[in-house]
Amino acid sequence: MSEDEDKNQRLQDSGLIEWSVFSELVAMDEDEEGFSKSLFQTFVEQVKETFQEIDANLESKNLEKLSSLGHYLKGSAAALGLESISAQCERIQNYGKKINCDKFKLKDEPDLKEEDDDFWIKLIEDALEKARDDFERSREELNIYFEEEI
Amino acid sequence: MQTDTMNSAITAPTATASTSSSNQSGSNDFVKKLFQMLQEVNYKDVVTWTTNGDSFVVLNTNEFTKEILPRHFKHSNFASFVRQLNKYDFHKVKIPNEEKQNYKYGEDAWEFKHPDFRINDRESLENIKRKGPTTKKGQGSSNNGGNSAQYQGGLDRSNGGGSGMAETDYGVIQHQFQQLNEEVRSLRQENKALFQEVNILQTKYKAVVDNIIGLKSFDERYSRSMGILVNCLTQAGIKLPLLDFPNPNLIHLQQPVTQTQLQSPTQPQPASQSQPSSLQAQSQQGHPSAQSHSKTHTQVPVQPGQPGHSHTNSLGQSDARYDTGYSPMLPHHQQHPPPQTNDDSKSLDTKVVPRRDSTVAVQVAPSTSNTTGPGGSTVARSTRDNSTSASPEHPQVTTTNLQNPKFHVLLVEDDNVCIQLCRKFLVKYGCQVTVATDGLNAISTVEHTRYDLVLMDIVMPNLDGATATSVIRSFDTKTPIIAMTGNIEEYDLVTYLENGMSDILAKPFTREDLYNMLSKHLLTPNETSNNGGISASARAPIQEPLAITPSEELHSEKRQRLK
Repeated sequence: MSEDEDKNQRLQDSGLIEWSVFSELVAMDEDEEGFSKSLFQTFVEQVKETFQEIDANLESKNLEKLSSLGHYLKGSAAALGLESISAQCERIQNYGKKINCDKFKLKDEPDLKEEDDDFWIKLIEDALEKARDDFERSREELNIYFEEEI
Repeated sequence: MQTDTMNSAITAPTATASTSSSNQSGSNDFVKKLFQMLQEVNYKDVVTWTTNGDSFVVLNTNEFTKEILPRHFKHSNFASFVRQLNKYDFHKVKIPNEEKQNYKYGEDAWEFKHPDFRINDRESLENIKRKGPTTKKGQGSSNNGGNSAQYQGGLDRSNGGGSGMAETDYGVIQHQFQQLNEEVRSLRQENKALFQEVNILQTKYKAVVDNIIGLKSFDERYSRSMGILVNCLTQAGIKLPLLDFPNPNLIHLQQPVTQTQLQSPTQPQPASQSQPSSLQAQSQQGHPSAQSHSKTHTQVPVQPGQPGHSHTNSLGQSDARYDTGYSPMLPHHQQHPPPQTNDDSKSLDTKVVPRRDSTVAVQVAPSTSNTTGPGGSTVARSTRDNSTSASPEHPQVTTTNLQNPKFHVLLVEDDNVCIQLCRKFLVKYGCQVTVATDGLNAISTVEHTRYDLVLMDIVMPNLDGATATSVIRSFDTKTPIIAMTGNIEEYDLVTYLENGMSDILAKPFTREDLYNMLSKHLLTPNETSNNGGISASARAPIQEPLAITPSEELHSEKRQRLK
């Protein structure tokens, strides 16, 4: 029991996941064992695929598509309480529509202007990198929590 | 005191208020009266012709104002009298300061002159007219009606001529204000008319888009059917001339993708089965990248089941029909030989059409969409083609069965994570849940099954939730449809409600949010107990769509004929 509490505390402390949402998901395991885990497994698969797609569309500079991919992943991440990932995805969604929602500035390429699609590609790359980072960290914590590689 | 009056009169030469007498006559009565007045010899100490006879002079303004003005002009306002003179282009004769002492009429005298105003020359009086600027004022006063007349009267009565300017300004401003008011009113009306026009156009636009979607899918079906026909003919050993099919891929560029996906769910047929003849068919399609496309066709002769799929697609409804586990019946559909399928799809009513369009729009989210939840969740996201629903592994519309469901809810959502989660919540609430993964499937599903409630995502492949809702509302106005969306900008909300959404559930939502929404729109279990059986388990088609009946009949008819 105390081991469970430790696990809970650890995940909670990581700050990667909104606890109220997560505990609600875990509560669903009561009548279906492994439900929450399967949910996260679905999510992991989805993220992997979507990241790949984002990479491909960064290559082809398809902003519109990037935006919709951002929106797609944003929804799933938010549903699971993975707020930081969701926030990065929202950035991708906005940048894809050429909306600089957080007035983000490119440090290493100050010459790139908003008129240039490459500007938005760079911004999306930044958001994607952060989303990847958050995803990996969340995944590690969740692996520990579920005591299994998800 | 006397000089004061005079000075103020001079400073207000532009004041244009008219005396009541001139107002009444409208012509140059004023001048005639003036002429008449100067005929009076009694006044010669107060007002008189100058010795030259080409001007007149007011010697004693005080006396003149008090005694003579009232008698001839019905007022005692010297300033008014001077303004009136100015109006008729009389000019005050200026006496240079150094000559003033020698001026025989005295320093305080006012001498006025007009080239046509001469002693004993009554005829020339007719040449004296009111000045131009005055007419402007005249128009103003006539436009303003009573208001301005009142204002003029007031001015006539006022003693100080100086205030005339300000009052004139006031009148002008008042006039302008009225004009602006009218302008605003007319602009408002114009705006309203434009708004209505835009609304009408929007409605029309929507109808046109619907039609185009329908036509597109018709086109696709025709071209598919043609391909099948060509295959059959080639199989039968009939040599075909080179056909000039328009390439459907030119219209929907991403169609090859779609076709690939169409193929993948029907894996049972190995690609190796493609026959030379199919290649011919493909070349007739004239599209190099149509490989997969042609394969679908290829399989036709080999696997009779394949065309059956396309039939099922077009019917669409079958998805809903069989989604609870009637799938065993599918093969019976699939047994129909290709030609028949062609006819069937052609005979379909337009109502069904939008559904087929799934093929068109699918491309929106390519690879993600194929994901099948590892946790055994059965929904293939946006499986591009309804045909997938025929294959049990990749259903487009799936239903989670429940022992004694209280409600039957349709969940329209393209995101696996959200589907799993939301379905779980719904099942816990006691709902039997059917999942559709895009707007088109949602429409066809709702057409054949009554749901207690529909949860509708907005951003989805094939057809967005808002449009799907407006289509559903054309035949079903009662079922509560709840929009699930992360876009909760005011503008979007209005759009959703305009499209016929019953309510909006903001994403992400908690279990409690969802349950609150459910309890708001679902009858309590007690209330439903009477009809619960019907709504949830029996699932009788509420509105048999026009499309299905004729085509199904035709279907069986053909089948029999074939036998």
